[in-house]
Amino acid sequence: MATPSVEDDVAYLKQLAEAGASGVPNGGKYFLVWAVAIATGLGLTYLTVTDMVPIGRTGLNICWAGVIAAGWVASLLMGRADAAKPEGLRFANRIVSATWIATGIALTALWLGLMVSGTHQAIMMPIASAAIGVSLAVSATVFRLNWLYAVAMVWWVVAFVSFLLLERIEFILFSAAVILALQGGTGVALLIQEGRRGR
Amino acid sequence: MTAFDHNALDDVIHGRARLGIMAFLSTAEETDFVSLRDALKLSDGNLSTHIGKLEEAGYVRSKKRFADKKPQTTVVLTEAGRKAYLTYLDQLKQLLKNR
Repeated sequence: MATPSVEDDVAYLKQLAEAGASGVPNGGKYFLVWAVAIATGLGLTYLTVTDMVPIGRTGLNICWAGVIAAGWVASLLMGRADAAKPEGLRFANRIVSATWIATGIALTALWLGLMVSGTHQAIMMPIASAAIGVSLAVSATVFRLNWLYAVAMVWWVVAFVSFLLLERIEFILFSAAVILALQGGTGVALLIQEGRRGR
Repeated sequence: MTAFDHNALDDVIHGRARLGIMAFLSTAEETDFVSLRDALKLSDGNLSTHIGKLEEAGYVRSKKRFADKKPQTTVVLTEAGRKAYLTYLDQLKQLLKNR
């Protein structure tokens, strides 16, 4: 058997270092949970502002608190299960996980502030879109998924367009559709990819 | 030009398999036994032996835990291991420079 050359050894080390650095995507279910939660909240908002459901502003805020709490509870339960899985140990996965948790906390704090202060809550959509785009870009870089980076860029376009539509009632439906398509669609795509990996 | 000193090479990580373990852990930091075995294409016994040698030198630390009620072994790169690996890479660089 031929002795490996120094070049072979260096290539071998590089390949293993890259294998260790690459994270293993495992977040499809979180995307789906949050897509359903936020789209539900937006659906209720539309029904309330068009007087189809007479729950008033306080009732709507309670509903939003419910869907956001449900999203967090589901995420924390799934996160506990994921922490026990081997891929959760990787540095790359820990970075992505920390990025999304920080984004979630920041957006929840912002939503709470808007609700308590009575500020126009439609502003959440462009801000959330921009923040989700950033976290997606981090995930895309760590997991080396070019298509995910493209989704991040679409979110940034949504952030820009949202500012132009803020005052329209249809904006609520637009937001729900965007969340379902981008967040939910990304979740489904990731779940398919994770399924192919045999997990 | 500095002459390359073969004696300065760290024997513990000079072998291909152990060097591979160090390379993988240098970026993953911590991983499970199965991922490491699959990445290096080694048998369970072979990998255990190499991890044992690295552990003796204080370069890695293995931990036992339960994941989904199943026992799982994880391997972590220690600070001494990271330093040894970086020193080894410097020596490799020196060797390539002197060729």
